[in-house]
Amino acid sequence: MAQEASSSTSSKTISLKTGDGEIFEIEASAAKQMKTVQRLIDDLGDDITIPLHNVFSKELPKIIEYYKKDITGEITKDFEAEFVKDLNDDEVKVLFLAANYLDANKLFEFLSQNIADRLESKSVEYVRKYFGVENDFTPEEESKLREERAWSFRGIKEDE
Amino acid sequence: MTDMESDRISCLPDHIIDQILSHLPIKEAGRTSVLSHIWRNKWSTQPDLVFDRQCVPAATSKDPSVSKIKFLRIIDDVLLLHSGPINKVKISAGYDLIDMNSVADIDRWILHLTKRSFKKLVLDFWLDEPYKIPCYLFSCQSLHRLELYWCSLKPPTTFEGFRNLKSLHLEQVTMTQDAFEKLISGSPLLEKLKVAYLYGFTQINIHAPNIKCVQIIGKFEGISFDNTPQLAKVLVEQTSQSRLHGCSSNLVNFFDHLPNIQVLLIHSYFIKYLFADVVPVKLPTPCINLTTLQISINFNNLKEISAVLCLLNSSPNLQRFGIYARLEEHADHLSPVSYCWEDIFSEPVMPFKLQRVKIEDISGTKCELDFIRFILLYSPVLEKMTVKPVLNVTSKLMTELIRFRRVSGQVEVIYHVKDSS
Repeated sequence: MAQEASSSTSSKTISLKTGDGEIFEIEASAAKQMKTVQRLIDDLGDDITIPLHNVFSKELPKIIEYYKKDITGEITKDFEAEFVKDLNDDEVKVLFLAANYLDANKLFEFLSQNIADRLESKSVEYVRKYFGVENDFTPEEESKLREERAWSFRGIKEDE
Repeated sequence: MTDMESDRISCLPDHIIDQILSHLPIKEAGRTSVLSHIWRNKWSTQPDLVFDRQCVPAATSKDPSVSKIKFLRIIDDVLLLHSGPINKVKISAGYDLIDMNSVADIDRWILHLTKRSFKKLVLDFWLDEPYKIPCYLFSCQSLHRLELYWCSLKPPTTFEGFRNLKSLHLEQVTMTQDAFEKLISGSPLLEKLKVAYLYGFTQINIHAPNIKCVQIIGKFEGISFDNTPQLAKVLVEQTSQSRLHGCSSNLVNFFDHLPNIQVLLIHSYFIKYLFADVVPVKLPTPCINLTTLQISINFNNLKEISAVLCLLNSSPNLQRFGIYARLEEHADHLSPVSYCWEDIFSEPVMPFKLQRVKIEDISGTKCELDFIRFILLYSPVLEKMTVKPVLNVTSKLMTELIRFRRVSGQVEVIYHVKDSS
């Protein structure tokens, strides 16, 4: 049954349940920044635990951490640098996909920039693996393209 | 990695890939064309094109002529292969990535772009002579934002303005006064204007019904606004006092057309232009919407101090105030000026509503200290005052400050010592 969203969201917390069954609490004002979550709250009410099938216990705490800082207006370049410092490329990608699923725009933008930064100077093979792209060029096609885009390939280390 | 995780990771939806590509510089994006057939053209539909130093890493070529050739080649290649709408083009080549030999190439790129209806153009390169903007740019009515450095603008006689232009930034640009005025008044949607060091004329007249923010920097002789009811933020920096005319109407003319001014920054010598004539106690019409004011003055010049007080008395809703001591070229700042406190710092009709005040580059002269004392005495709701002296000032200034009587119960006075590093 749909309930009216409560008008004061200042100290209210929302329960979120990950795809692997764990429950996390988040402040209602932070939940507002994740449009998917907000839509679920509007449909299901804010007293029910919101199920997030596609987000897991490994990444949700990190996302909650980001938005906790966001609602106090404390997100700085330093905080963002620190936030991704110890994450490897795949961990960032998982967070990025979760931000996309949750429709959490600020985090999504920030992580897409971070991924772009990480991919600079990486080899083509690495980027293929990262995006899960299968190479459907013949060796001749590929080498012709590489020649055409020679200016793109200067200074890049290629995988063996 | 579990099976479940690798399944999730292996396919990224299109819009996500576009998002990441949009953050990659051109050089990196170009390489994605080799990933697979689907990717081959993805990079070439990116709507924002930035050509800058990142395209030609320094390590790859020590020979500047080779770097130039590479830079040209990249722009040619990208523009040729690009498909889809182009939103922004920025060419940021400094002094060394493009030279006069490439003027024809630049003309050609601009011609190509005008046919593609793009919205934002930034030309930031410094040739031996200002780049002459080709006439076909003036027929490009899709432009929203134009940012030009070291160019010369000679619009054709048929040019009547840019119908969709919202933001204009001209720096070290040569043009006639007529061309400038036509450009401004013929671009009715213009909201933001920044001009820094214009060559070819010295009277800057701005007639722009939708303009909200204006910045003017340079050695102009006169400024006027006409029909600018929405103008909320103005910065003027007059970098030379040798051009100033004594004209009694400067002040009235300036403020008459700024009824809704909210933020005003008066830098370098502009205060002298405004108050070329006698300084009134206050302006004929108060600036009721002004909430932020920043001024550069010579604290040794009593007329300029009176000018500041005139503005403070005319801004009943001012909350943030910053004042910067300007060092004059002559040595008269060494000899102290004598005056009577009551003559200069008379009690204002209404106490100030100032909440935050910044005072910078002072050296601890009597005038400066009196000014600070004055502010503290008549600002009952002041929350924070920050004082940043120039280097080599003794701590005597600090002890003086602490002694001053403050009317505001909660004011925090912060004294910043400038880092000598």
